[in-house]
Parts: sequence; structure tokens; C-alpha cells
Amino acid sequence: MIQKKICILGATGVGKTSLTRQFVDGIFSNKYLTTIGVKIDKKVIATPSSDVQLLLWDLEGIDRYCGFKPSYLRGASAFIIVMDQTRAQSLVEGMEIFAMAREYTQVPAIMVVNKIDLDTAWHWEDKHVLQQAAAFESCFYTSAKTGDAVNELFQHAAQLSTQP
Amino acid sequence: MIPLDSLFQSLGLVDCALLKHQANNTFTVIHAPVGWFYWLFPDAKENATIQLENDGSFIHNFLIDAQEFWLNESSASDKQQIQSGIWKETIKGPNGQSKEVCLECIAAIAIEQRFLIINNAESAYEQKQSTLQTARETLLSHDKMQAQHDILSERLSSVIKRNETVLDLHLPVEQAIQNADFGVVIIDTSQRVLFSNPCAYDYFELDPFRASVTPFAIIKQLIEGQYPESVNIFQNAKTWNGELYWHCPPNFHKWLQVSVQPVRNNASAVAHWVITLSDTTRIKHLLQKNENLILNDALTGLHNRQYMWKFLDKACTDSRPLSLLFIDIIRFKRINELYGHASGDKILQDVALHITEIAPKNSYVARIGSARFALIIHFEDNLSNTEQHIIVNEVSAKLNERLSVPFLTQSNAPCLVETNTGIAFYPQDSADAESFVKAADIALKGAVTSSSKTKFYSKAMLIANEERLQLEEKLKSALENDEFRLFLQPIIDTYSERIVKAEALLRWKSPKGEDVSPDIFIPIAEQTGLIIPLGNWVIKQVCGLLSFLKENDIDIKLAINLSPKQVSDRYLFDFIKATTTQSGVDAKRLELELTEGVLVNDYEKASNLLNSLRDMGVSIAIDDFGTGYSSLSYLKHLPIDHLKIDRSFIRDIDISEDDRAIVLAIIAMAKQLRLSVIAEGVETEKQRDFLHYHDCQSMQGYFYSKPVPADEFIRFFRKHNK
Repeated sequence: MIQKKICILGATGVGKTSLTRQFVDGIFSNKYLTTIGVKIDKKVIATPSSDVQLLLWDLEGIDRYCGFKPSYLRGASAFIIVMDQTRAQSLVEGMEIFAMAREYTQVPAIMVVNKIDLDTAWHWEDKHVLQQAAAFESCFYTSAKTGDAVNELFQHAAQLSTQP
Repeated sequence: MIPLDSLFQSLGLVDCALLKHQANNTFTVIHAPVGWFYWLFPDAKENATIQLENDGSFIHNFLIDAQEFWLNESSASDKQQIQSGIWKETIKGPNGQSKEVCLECIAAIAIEQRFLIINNAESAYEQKQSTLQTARETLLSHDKMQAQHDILSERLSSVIKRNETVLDLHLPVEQAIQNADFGVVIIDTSQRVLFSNPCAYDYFELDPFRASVTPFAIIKQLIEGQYPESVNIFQNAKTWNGELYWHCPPNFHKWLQVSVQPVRNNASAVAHWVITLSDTTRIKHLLQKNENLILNDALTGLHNRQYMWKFLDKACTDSRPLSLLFIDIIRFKRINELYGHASGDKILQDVALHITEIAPKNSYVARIGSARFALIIHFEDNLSNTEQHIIVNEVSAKLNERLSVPFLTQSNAPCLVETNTGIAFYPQDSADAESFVKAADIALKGAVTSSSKTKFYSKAMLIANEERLQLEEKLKSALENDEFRLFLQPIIDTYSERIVKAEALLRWKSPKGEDVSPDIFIPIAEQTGLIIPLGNWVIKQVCGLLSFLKENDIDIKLAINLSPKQVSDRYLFDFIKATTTQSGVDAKRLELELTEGVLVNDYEKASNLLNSLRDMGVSIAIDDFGTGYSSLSYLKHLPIDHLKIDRSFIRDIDISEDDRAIVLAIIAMAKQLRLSVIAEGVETEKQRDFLHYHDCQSMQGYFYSKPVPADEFIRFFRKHNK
């Protein structure tokens, strides 16, 4: 079976682990538990061409306590940048991470606006988000809590990763 | 043969696999723990080679970095190892069972060979997660607060912009601003304050109706002081954001998030400025606290106190058998004073290193106070209490041995370090982390007060500690209940044999009629701060006694003991002055006795106090002379009148040549410095004769009289001095 590595990046507390957990185990917890290092999960997913085993690398949130480690992106077939629509700063930080990742790899990137079950931050402007999304292959509005668009996101990531 | 144990120890590894690099992705398994390693590599065998396939795994990803590290010998010489960082994944066992593991890879060069170490990083993961969790939660709330502040500022500006002038604000808007829980100040282009809401006044602890200064004036001053580059913000018509620190000694300090926004009129000219303020003190405090949480102790690189608490909380919740050793360097302050802080720091680092080297496997060392360390030893579940005690005894003996060797200061001068150790066990001695720490603390206190350097916690210690706490409680009420009495012990002039003064000594008779020794209650009063009201009571009583003695035609001096805490009390001098004035006592009839330690601990404060007292006419004696840290320089520079030779030198003066030599040296030195000498604890005629023969000016002790109540003293005085 084909195996594809997908890295999930973003600022602290945007919901990277929650998205992965929702996708892999169908579970969501409201309690925030910070990730340390890398959490690796596997899930087989069917794509139009074949079954793919996704190796999901959920990376520790990048902030003042944890820097960006480009070597973790090595061998990835795609990467996902997660932002939190309740925290406008996560968009700014997400774009910074995207720029750093782009310096290292040209594989497809997906922008994810997470926590759509909650109100947007006061500063959150859809127009601005759309402008930023243009730099990505695609953009998903997800809720790890309700599961909205989570499967679609990873399905799409699998497809992107198998594209020649 | 590779010395595996020492290699592992030097790398700080416990549950790990060691693979020797052969070529490309081929390794020889040197050592591997049963369990997770064979789940990861089912075909692996010790001392056999394995091929690590390119399977997209974390390990393989790291091998690319490792190969580069091993190949680049020149950089390898600078750096002996590289680490992958921790990763977590679920692995499958031989029977299809699965478990989650936290691992970390290390590529190392040792003994000129290349190694790959795969380490079980579960405990490192937990440590890191427990500290970063709070830190990140705080960061997130800080972000939210900042965003809230920004939007409030912006919305306010737009509301004001929609109104011709600030005075035209609609009533609901004005009411909302008045009641807002963030500060709002509005000024015009001439910087005239048009509006300040109550919260803005509250932030600076100002009364809106009485304040002589406005919140705006303070903000402006703070910006000028803290952001000198931003003094022109009101000229360039741009939004300014910053964080200001406001400090109003001695009670108030705040961190304020401040935004200054221009509000333009329809012609785009600046019409007003809106300044919004949010109090970020709490978040700032939490952030700083969390920085401390994350960082280990900066000086020694060990874990810190917060880590120790978190670790013990977790370990006790998991019911892991543990021992906790508190190791305290005695009188470390003195090392700093004698050799300087740089040497003090070096010694702390060396002590930390020794403790770490002696610490057994599965133990953690933390620096939990300026000169206090904690060593937490984790035992295997199957060890009996006796076996645990044997291990800890061995560790403690090794520690005492190692720490008794002189340390070297920065200038390579030898310096002896004395330590006390308190030891407790979990779960034998305690039910949770808090009682565990308390037990180790009680044991340490036991070591401090006993001749033994190391003490194991016991129920008896707990009882003694509880008794002490009860005594503390009784002591608190003793003053209110008038349970203290002052006794007087005469001080005799050696030549005339007449009583020339007396020392006032505090006595406590509890409601049950038991006499509590001052050796017991004075240290407790000192530690609890009760010594201040108690000391003031003594001063008042002594002034009263001086008046009483004068009425009885006894015109002598009375001496009072001052404790270190009293000397540190900045109101002491004022109190003495006020009390002597009120009671009409001539300050020349008051003598104060201080120990050497008080002078050395805070020379400047003591010097100021003694000089002020001398100006008043109060005389000063150094008590227990010869037992503490004796510096001749303070004798020369401070206004001291008498030295009181400690009773321990007088006691054996008949039989100990050393004590005789010390006493004679003190007398000779005092003569040179023109100080008079008082010998304490004179109990025999022989002692008196010796002191008399060698020109000791005054004596005090049971040979003449024990301390007695004032009326008895008067009778004794009349009889003795007739």
C-alpha cells in the first residue's frame, strides 16, 4: 500500500491534535492538552486511484517555546497549516509558519480555518482570510468538535499527496 | 569491550536501546530493553546486525540527520551528540496488542565509534508537557486579552468619530464608557483632558474628585520615561500601542496595555486622541511565573522548586515509592559575604554537581532554595522499607563524605561547606506531595537543631513539631495575657565588687504554671516575628523598671538583649526614643546587647542604628563574644562600649588552657580597642579570681546572683552595695 506523510502545523492551541484525533479516532475533547514534539498517527484512506496509508505528523505548536523544525517536513507529500478563527493572531502566525515551510518544501499545502463552531474573533476578517488562502492549494473551514469538513480535509490531503 | 554502564550513565540514559552504526542504515544491537524495542524491530537480536529500512518512520527521518552528523567528523568533534526531539506513536506488539510510546533518538560519537540511541522519553515528555501546558494556556489568554483591548480601542475611536465633539456623545455610549472595566481617556489636540472614565482613575489609585494629577499626566510621563523614542506620538497622528509599567511605592504597581489613537474629523484632521488602558498585571505575572516554570534553575541547570512540586504531585498520584532528601547548606550567606557572590555561585554549582553525581539511577535533583537542594529517589516497587532505607543511607553517607571535602572559591581558596539533610519516605511518612515535603522539611529542621547532620523523619519529630506549633500559638496569646516577667541579673564591678548594672532577662510562665525556657521561646518568637512586639514590651518594661529603681535610690544601668529581627525593624530606634522620653528615663541608663551575627548580617543597618543610639546616649555591648563570626573591623568602626565574653569560655577556664588563652586574648584586644569586658557565667571563686587577676572589668553569673525578680533584686542590691 502507498504510504504518504502529511505534516500538520500551526500556532499553539489552534486544534491540530483535535483535528487529527477527530479524523483518526472520531473523538473530540474540549480540554486543551499541549502536544510535545511530534505525535504520529496512521490511517488508511481510500482515494480514487488506490488505498493510501496516511502518516499524520501532528507537530508541536510553534511559539516562543518551540521553534520551527524544517527537518520534520522531510519526505512529506503535503502539509496542512491550521488557524483558529477565534484568535486572529493565529492567522498571522500561521502565515509565518507557511512562509518558513515554503522555504523548505514545495509540496502542496492546505490552509485550515478551524473552530468554526465558535464565533470568529473580532478582528477576524473573511476578506483578509481569503486573500491569504490564495497562497495555498486549497482552504477548508473545519470544526474538530463537530467533525465538520474534517474527513473532507484529510481525504483531500490524501488526493493531493498522491498527485504526480 | 565497551563499558556499557559508564557509557549509559555519561549519556544520562536509563531505558534505552544502543545500536552501533556499521554502514548506511546497518547497525549492531549492543543493548536493547525488553519490550518496546522488540515491538519496533521484531527481528532484532542483541549483538546481531539489523537493517533500518526506509519506511518513512520518525527514526528513519532522523537517520538522515544522524548520517550527516557522523560523516561530518569536524563538527562532530565540537558536538558529541545530536537529538531528534521527542515523538509519540502507537506501536504494535507480537500478539497484535498496541501501546503508545514516547521516544527520542540520539546520534552520538563515543569511544571514536558511532552510536544510535533510542531512548524511552516518557518521563521527559511528561515533565515538558506539565510545564508547557500552563505556559501555553497563559499565552493564549494573553493573546485574547490583547485582541480584546485592540478592538475596544478601535470601536471607541469609531464611535467618537461619528460625533461632532466628545461632548456630543450619546448618553448610552457615555454611560457605557463610564462603566467600562477598561480605562478611557480622551484629550483634544492641545492635550487638554476632556474625559477620563472612573476606571482610568482606579488604575492609578486616584480619587477623581480629589486627585491633583490626572491619569493622562501619569500616562504621558510613563511613555516619556519608558518609551523615550515615542515622545512625539501626539505630533505624528498615528496610532501607538505599548505596555507601560506603573509603580507607586510602596504598595502599587501595574502593567498596563495602552493604546493611543487619533480620531479624525470629516476633514481628516486629528480632532481628538483616545487613550485606552487595560490592566495586564495578572497575565504578565503568570507569564513570568511560567517562564520560571519552563526554565530550570539558571545557575545550576538543575530542576527548580516548581518542577519538584509538579513531579511529586504526579509521583504521589501514581503511588510511586519515593524518598525525598532536603539538603541545606548551613550559613551560605556567610560564604557569600566572606568570598563574594561569584564564589558563592561557583560553590552552589559544585555542590549541585556532587549531588547529581551521587544521585542514584531514577532520581531527580532540584535546587529549591538559595542554598537548598532536593534529591528525589524513585524506588522499584518490590523494594522493602529496609532496603529503601539502606539505599538512602548509602546515598546520604556518600553525600556527607563528598560535601565535607573543601570546595574551591573563584580564587582557588579552600572553603568548607556544612550541610544538613532531612529525609522522608513516601508513602510510609506521608499521604500526598504536600505532607511529603512537610515531612522532609520537619526532618531537616530536626537536623538543624540536633548534633547529627542527617535526620530521618519520624512520628516523634512530627509530634515535636506540632508541640512547637502549639507553643507558637501560646506565645501569641502570652503577651496579651501578661504571662511574661522581667528578671534582673546583677553585673558586678570586679575591682569595687559593687553592682554597677543589671541585665534584664525575659521569663515566661505559662498559664499552667510551667516555666518555658528562653532558649525555647526566643528562637520561636524570632522566627515568627513575635519578637518585635515582645521586644517592645521588654523596652517599655525596662524603662518602667529604671524609673522604679530610681525611686528606690538605685541609679544603675539596665541592659536589654536585641535580636537580629529587632535590629532589622526600622521602627526600633523611634520606639526606643519615644519610650525613654515618655517614661522620663535618661537614655544613658539604657544598654543594648547585640550578638556579633547581627552586626555581620546587616552591617550598614546595624551601624546606622548604633550610631543613632550612641547619639542618644545609649551604650552598646556585644553579647556572646567569641562564639560567632568575629571581625575586628566592626569593633573598630562601630560605637561599641563593652564586650561580653561568652559563658562557654568561662565555664572551663580552670581546666582548659585554650579557653584561658581565648579569654586573655579577648581582654587584651578589648584593652587595645578601649572597650570594657564583662565576663558572663561566672559561677566559682576560682573563675572570679582568674578574671580579676587578668583585669576583666565586670562579671556576671550565679557566683553573685541568678536572675531574680525586681523586688528581690532591690533587696540583693541594698545588701550587696551597702
